[in-house]
Amino acid sequence: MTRYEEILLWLSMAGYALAFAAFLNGMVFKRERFPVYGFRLIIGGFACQTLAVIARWYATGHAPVMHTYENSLIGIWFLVLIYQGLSRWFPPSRMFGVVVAPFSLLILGNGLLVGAELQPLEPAFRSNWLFIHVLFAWFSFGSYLLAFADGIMYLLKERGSSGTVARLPDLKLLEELSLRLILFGFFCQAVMIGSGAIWAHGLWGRYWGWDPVETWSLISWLVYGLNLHLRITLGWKGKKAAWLAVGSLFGIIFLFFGFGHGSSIHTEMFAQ
Amino acid sequence: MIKRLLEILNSRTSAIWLLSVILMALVASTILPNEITLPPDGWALLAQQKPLYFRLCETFSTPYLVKSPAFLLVTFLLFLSTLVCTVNRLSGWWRYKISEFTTERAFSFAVAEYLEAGPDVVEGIALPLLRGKGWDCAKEKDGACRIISGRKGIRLGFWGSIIFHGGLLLCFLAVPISVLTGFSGQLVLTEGMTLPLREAVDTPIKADVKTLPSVNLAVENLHGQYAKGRFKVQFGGDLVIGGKRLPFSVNQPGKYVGLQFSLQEFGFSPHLVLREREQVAFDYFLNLRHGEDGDYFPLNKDMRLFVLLFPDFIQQGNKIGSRTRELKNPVLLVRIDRDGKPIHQGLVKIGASATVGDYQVQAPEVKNWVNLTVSREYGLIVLIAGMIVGIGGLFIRFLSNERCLTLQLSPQGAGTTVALRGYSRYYPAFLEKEVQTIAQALDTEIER
Repeated sequence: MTRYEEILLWLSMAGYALAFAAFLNGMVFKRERFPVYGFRLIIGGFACQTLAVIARWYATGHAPVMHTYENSLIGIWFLVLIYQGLSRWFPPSRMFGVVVAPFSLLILGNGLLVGAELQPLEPAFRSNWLFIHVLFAWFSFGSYLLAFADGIMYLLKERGSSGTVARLPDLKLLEELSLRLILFGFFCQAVMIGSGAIWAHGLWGRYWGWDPVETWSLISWLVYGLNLHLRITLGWKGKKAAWLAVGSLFGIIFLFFGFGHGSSIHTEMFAQ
Repeated sequence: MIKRLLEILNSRTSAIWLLSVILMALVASTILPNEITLPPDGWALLAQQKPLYFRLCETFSTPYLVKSPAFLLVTFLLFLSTLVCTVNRLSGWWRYKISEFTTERAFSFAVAEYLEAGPDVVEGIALPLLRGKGWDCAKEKDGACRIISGRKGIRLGFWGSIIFHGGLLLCFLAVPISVLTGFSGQLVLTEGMTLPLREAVDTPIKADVKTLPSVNLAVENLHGQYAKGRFKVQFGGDLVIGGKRLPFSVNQPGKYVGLQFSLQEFGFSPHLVLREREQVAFDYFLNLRHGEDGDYFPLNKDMRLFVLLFPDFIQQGNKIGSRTRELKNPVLLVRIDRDGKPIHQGLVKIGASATVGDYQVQAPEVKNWVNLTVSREYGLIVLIAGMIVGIGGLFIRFLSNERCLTLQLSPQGAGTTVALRGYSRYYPAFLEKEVQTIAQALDTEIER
């Protein structure tokens, strides 16, 4: 990566780390101003990350959508964007930062560990479907992660209601917000799978091949489909629904980090 | 019996159970390795070293499990269940011509209060207030009472769900269409060599080859482009088939009478000739698959040949290697192994010859080779249609948060009793918040 990108990325990671500390401090020691600082630090971190994305785009000449590091960089950018959008529409959800900040650090850290070498866009990635695939992938993962954060907040609020936890939204609102986030994520993931299938047909001559990444994307989509059915059709509510939102994220985590469980055509798309 | 079966299939609980079974089976299947997750050597080694475990993997890992009769049966039942549920919901709508929202109006929330202003004044304030918040309002009179009713949000939640499930059913249908009418095979072609399509293609189901056109094909003008000598940029060439020339590259397949030719692999193919006492012992174009590790080829019963191509050869002291991945200064490393042990080794520049052990080795030229996937996919159209319909349905379902409210204004003394009730199908807590916000705003406006 370029020097500018490196400096900006570390600044944004510092912002997210401090934001996490501030949110945690606010929740544990019941200091009411700290979550406000945490939210501002996330905005600062996001601004630096935006510049890091621009620096990367400028240096490579293509949108950062290739391999683990670039996907982490752009994915976390989308996650924080969705978080900020949600905070604007529904201000009490700012507290979700206590989950968003450490998750952002984790994903960005994993990306950096894998390697951030500057590379031109590989031939397999030269498809308009790729951009639709990646864009909706991150919208869906962002929504699911916020639903996970919502579930955690629900369970915390349900256990006690003093200090910062007391300022969390009403339990019923948290429950419905989680449903809306999952519904949005489910829609975005459907677009992700659909566009991925069309891209795969042009690239590999088949739209589905039971590759581990494909299988886990279907599994995670079905998990959220089941989640929606259990909540809307069978009326699962309260703690059960919150645990569902928390537990369902594991499919997504496995999808993201699942490459270690064997080779996948997704890691070497075109052999030379 | 059929009625009972339909009842079971129509039950949403059955659908959830079927979906759960599919999910659990899929999750369990991903734990087991298979031909996709293991390299070919690893898969072969597993078969040799752990035959029982291999058998388990060959039966229950994902690519095998999804073709098993039990899995297909559960999937078929889920398809039937989705179909029956969707048809049943549609017939319910057809019978009464009203949406589920009208019949169910699942959640409602009401507030009542007394305001010190006449019904005319309250109505005059409430109407613009509600319209300003995006409510589509109508008013009516019921004796002395005035009733304002409002609607908000897209009213297509029911249809969104129906359309989504319709799309899902189409996606289900695409699978058997693909399996029954599709074709998939591999084609390894060296530049400039003409072969009959039916003989050249390698497919697991040999009978399918007869469905291919009886034509000859060849690849020409194969080219690879790198950035900084090592990063892949573009690879492609021309496919000459049935008198037509079709350009192809990665992501840009060639298409011929319903067949798609997608580029999967691209490599070097050096021409290698070995002579022993003036007799030709070996004369082939070698399609090198492991560019940086080298490839083995059988020479005779006991001996084999190891070949490694350095496309841009460089030597520094005892160390040899390639500066870039581009074909600038190609040199071949040729090694002869007997019973797995190296006995002779030498370097041969392309266009030149050298002596390696008892052999005179010649490498006249280097061509390229490609591996193309040949496929025919009639299910794709159905799948894309299903996806578009399904995604459209989900989008409608996501946007639709249909809700309505009634504001009943009853004169009481000099003031008005206001009864505000909101109805929603999906989000009661957000509805409650919305109704309270409207009531507060009405209060504030009246006080002002």
